[in-house]
Amino acid sequence: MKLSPYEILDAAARRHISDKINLYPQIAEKIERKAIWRSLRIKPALMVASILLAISMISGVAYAIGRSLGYIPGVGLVEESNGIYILDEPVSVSHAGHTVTVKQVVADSQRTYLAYKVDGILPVRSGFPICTDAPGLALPDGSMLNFTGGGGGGMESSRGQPMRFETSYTFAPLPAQARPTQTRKLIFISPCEMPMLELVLAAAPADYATPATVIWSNHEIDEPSLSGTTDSDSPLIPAKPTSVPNGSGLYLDQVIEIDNAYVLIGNFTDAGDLPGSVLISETSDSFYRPKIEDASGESIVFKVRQDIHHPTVWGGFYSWAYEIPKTVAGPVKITLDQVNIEFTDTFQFQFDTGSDPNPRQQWELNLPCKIGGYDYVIDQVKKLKNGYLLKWHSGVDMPEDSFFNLSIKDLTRSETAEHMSFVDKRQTDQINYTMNFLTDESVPTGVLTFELTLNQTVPLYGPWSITWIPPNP
Amino acid sequence: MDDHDAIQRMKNGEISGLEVLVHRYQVKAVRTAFLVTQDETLAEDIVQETFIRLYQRIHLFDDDRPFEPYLMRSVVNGALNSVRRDRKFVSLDGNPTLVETLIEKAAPVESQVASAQLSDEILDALAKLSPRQRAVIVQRYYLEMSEKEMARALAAPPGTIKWLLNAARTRLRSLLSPERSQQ
Repeated sequence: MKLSPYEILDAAARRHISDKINLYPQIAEKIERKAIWRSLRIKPALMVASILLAISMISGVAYAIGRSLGYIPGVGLVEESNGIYILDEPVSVSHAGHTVTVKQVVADSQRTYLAYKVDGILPVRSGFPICTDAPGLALPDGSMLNFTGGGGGGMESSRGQPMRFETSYTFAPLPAQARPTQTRKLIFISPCEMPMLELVLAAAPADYATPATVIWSNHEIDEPSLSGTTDSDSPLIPAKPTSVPNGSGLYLDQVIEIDNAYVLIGNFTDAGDLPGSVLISETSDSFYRPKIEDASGESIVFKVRQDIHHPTVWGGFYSWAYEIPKTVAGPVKITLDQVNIEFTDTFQFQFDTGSDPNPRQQWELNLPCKIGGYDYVIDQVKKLKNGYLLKWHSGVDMPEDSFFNLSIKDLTRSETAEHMSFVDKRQTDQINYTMNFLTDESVPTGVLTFELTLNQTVPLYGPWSITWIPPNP
Repeated sequence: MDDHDAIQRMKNGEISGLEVLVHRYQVKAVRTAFLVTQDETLAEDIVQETFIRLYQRIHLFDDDRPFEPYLMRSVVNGALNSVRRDRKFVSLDGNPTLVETLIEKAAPVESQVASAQLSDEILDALAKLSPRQRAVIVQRYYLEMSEKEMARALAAPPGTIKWLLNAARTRLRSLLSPERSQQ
């Protein structure tokens, strides 16, 4: 059998992209966030109030100040006031060559944490080799615990060996009547058509979680420097970011003391007062990792504590948690040098093509303009069989991370940027750009307004810093 | 609910229309973006952003036109923009032996194509192409677009598409049918 190129490419893509993906919840959440974000951007007072509310909600709800806290590596903080319940030992079931093992269950008054793995996974010709839907957790009466988060996980493999898939999820806490006393049961409903697994939970021993204590943080937030703080190439970026608090910047929310370490928990907030939106995503970790220094200015080696991350409550709010050794000599300074922001700028120009321009007719415009603070020259518009071609150029001092969209305004039809591409060609003294506007319909003619939109990602330099003073030993 | 109905719902402000389209096309869209970017997370981000942009600009969409080609064109352009920004590719220029190595390893295709190894090697080879070459391979062979459609989607002259495809196709043919390339 000879496979088509499509089948071969599809097989390669399928190995990485499961049939079971579900992007819709994230898309819906982002749309909602963007809607909130847009309304907040035009209402600064509401913005500040919302930030404070968000932080207070996180501090109050998720971290249960004043209660008995514990820390379990990989699981995160647990609330121990009403005890925690755990799976004594991993439980497995095998079926059709796969073995599902529930490795860990931890139930406290805030949530139920579940970690499981699937072993014995063989590569498949098409499709993802294992189901990756969320499993279910049911109580003995058949009611389900609500799914609250998690997922992801990863596939481990070594050449020639069956693969392993591991992941973790969180669910709602067990109902109060199900928690106290000796043992409690849950039913693990595998997404992989395995037999169900009964999970017997028992009260965790007293030392199961490392004691954790919230330290009310005694810290100062430094104003970003007032001058020379940005060496961004873009003329649009102002000389300084706005100051904190109550504006965009770095915030320390809490410090948790565990064992022989402190965990600093905070966030970077985009309050809408910067020259563009801060690019923040779930994967911002590596982009926005700060430096942490001790009293002598020496860098402190710290661990990212993803298991203690605050939930991301909305767009424009990036939370972090870093663990530093307790032996550190304070004060401790956390500094974030830069964030990336995204902004757009548009330029419109109008000209008359006449009512019936010839194919390949061209108009030399030589029109200087400024887009995003940079100087460009619109060189030429050329009529194509099915649209127009626009040529323009700039000097060579442009950031590489720029791209354009082209549209013709006031068209009642739907030709938009998706019909276009952008080519830049760097020469020694200038960069040439070419972009097409193509349409399936009749090509618009007459007086047309072309709109060129620049989208640019640029670094915005702070630094933003926080100084925290550890408690006396 | 067909695509047309889903789009009408979106135009009426109902997000349920978007949900239908996401569920219908997300897998193919993410795989398309992945083949261009070679990055699973980035591919998902691109498709998410494409759907969000689509939702926000749905009033511009002419619902007499087929939706899927429009979506896939947006995904490919989004993926191209992303890889251009990241500049995460290595030119194949100066490494002509790579293709030869792959040809040897690829035979016989029929017996190996199901293996993870060959899939990885194909992805490795794609990663060595320029983003634009990768895009034309994905459009021609994965989205199965005609050259004319590609020229329109990439807003490039047909001659450029032919040239890009020729270079990319030569390599792909070598990968997929080594016996033919040796004739």
